[in-house]
Amino acid sequence: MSEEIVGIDLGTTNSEIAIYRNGRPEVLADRNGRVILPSVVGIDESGELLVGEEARNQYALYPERTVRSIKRLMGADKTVRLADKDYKPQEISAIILKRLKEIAEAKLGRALRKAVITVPAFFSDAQRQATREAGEIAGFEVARIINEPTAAALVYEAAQHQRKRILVYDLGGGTFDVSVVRVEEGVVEVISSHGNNHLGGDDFDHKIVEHILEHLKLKQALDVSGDARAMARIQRAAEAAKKQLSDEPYARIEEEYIAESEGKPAHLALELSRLDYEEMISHFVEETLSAIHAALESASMTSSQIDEILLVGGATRTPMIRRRLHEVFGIEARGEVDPDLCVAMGASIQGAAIAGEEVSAVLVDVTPYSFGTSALSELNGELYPYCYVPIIKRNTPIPVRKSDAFQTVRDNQECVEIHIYQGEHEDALENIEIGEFRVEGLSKAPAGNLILIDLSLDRDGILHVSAKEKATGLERTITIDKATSRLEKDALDSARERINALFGEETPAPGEDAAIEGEAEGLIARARALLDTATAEDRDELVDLIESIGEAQATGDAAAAAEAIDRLTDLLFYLES
Amino acid sequence: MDQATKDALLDRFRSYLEGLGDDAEEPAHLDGETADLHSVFVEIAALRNEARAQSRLTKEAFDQFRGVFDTLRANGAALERELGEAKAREKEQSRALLRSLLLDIVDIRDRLAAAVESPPSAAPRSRRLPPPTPDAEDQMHRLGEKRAKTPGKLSAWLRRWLPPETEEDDPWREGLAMTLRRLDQVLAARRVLPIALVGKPFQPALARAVSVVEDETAADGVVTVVLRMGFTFEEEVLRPAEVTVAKRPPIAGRSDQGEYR
Repeated sequence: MSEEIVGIDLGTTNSEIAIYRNGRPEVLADRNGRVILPSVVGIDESGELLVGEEARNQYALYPERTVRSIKRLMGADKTVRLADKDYKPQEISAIILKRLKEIAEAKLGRALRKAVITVPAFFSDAQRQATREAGEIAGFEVARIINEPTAAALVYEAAQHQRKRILVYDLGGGTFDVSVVRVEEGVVEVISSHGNNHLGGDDFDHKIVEHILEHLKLKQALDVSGDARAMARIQRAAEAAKKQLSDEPYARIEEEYIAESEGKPAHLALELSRLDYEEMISHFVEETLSAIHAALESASMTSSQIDEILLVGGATRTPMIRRRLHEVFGIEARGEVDPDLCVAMGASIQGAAIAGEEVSAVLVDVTPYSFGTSALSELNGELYPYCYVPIIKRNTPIPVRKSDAFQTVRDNQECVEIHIYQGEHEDALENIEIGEFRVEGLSKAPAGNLILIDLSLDRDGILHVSAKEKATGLERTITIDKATSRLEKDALDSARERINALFGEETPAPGEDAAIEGEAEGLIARARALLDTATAEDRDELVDLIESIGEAQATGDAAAAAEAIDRLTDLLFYLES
Repeated sequence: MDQATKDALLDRFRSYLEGLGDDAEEPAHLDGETADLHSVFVEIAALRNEARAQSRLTKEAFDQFRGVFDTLRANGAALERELGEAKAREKEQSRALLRSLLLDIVDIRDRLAAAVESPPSAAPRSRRLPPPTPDAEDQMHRLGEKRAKTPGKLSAWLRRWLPPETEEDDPWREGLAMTLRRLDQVLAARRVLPIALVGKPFQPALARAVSVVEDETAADGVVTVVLRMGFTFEEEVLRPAEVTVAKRPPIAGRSDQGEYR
């Protein structure tokens, strides 16, 4: 067996170490189960070395004995002072790398020698050399230094056979980088890179904290900015609200007994909507889009030339970022592999490839279809009652729970009918309806009464749907079994009937088409059986073809159906052989 | 066969026997013995070959058995290793789940503790508010003064309008404190214990310094206030505390810091 090579993401704020084993990359945790090591080094009062969280814990008290963000100094001809001694940046980085090595060796129970370390695409030769030296000081033989966007690309596509141009959008806690990457014949090349060293998810948190402080001042005449205990609670509450708003349209921020006001306990209670939050952070997001345009310009490319967008960094979980990227590029960004850990994973895939192992991209359990509901909105410039609103989008890792807010159309509307669809078409009627229910007894309210629809999909393909009147909490729920494997004949038939009815046509009696239908059904069943094992790209193609067949049959387009069947037959031949 | 023929044949046999003589018997005997030894040797050679073939087969069988046993042993070891790994993974997963649950519980404990430590409420929710007269506040003030002069002599009816003076006077707070104590007992029974830090030197493994205070009365680097209590779970840190630490004023002119941005 060839020697194992670990992959390391040596970050500005946090670092991780991963190894490729049993056919997949695994990020290694310390004995407390933590996979993320803060990139902070310190010396405590008794002269003991501190690395990671412990060093970070003493930063406020002993900044003169603590170093953080050393990555920003890599390659510079400077030293940092730590407890009255001078250290080169690579020596400080080496301490972080050595701790990661210890974590990995403790976890695996054997010594490790070789590593692949990632660096930002914009790092100069001197910075790369300094990183290599840091690895060597830490006791590693540095097998390779690779770019962070390259590592991210490897996670999603280890084989790299197809020619592609990929945009890697990396928004971490405190830094933002965007890179245009070209992949061809197994070679990953970073064409251009742009970014901002001081922009990240922490800025989003600060905006929410400011909003909370403003709320306390206005509503309760309270200023808690000087109260360390209250501020720490508000900071945590802001972070939790930010995470909640990634999946839900509203977040309740409640902190009981947060302060005293006129000798009485004061509570913090406010609701933050995703819309308000997005308004707060929109200028940050727009700034990242400007950086993208700069990177595209440096690469002499336009947005239409990008084949794929990959999301890296925890802050990319913000739905607004995905939405804006979709608006600019017209394609869905991919972020199904944990964006906090995917660079380390990619580095470990590169390590395994250097060691001669057969490697593959990371496979994540994702939903092959989007799930959503229909609403009155504009379709092709006209008001249409069956506009499809996807709530759980295709390729989202499962299990997943997402919700969205809808409004009643009429004053005093007492009832809403909820239809749940599976599919991608903007016209809900072109998708497969998998469930419907009514919520009756809504309160008498003007039009715009908010209804929250919550979809929760588990690993077994069971979809739990709930619709709740926000004002009163009145709720109805349904459960849909095997939601991910639905594309049944009766559903197709009913879709076809609905479409034909719209065109004033009668559903044709089954005749010679029956044979083609039978063949299509067989193919679809075989294709479905392969969905779990196929690669992400093949899976996408399978799903597209299944849908094309469904659509062609529903509209009675025999030529389109035959073509889709031919293509699916070819793909199945390739995948099954 | 007639008698004459029989006699003739017997005569010939007799003369033949007489012709052999005593000497001739030995070689005949030796010939027989030679023939037997030869066959014995042949038999022995055959046996030897057979034994060799058998032993080869036996050796092969033993080798195969050894191979099988080795494979079984290796499989057993691999299974044991996999089982060990699976058990370790399962333990890790269940511990991670438990940690996350315990973190949620200690967070609720924080909130309960904040309620117990909060200032007493003038009018708990279940009590009736004083009559909305313009001089209600004056009335309350007078009642308070009266209580101060004649403690224990106020009627129960009057006491209902006044803010409680001690925890014992405030059944709400008393109830919350009891619930908090019960929760602490439940946590302690599961080896989730608070970390006592006030007055002790700051330990970065147990706490995070959130703020620093220049305190002449406290020793340098000693924890003065716990802003958020820390907990251990089975001798491991479940959640580090957040603390304020005393620090001597910095020496003038010194500005070396570890952060570079």
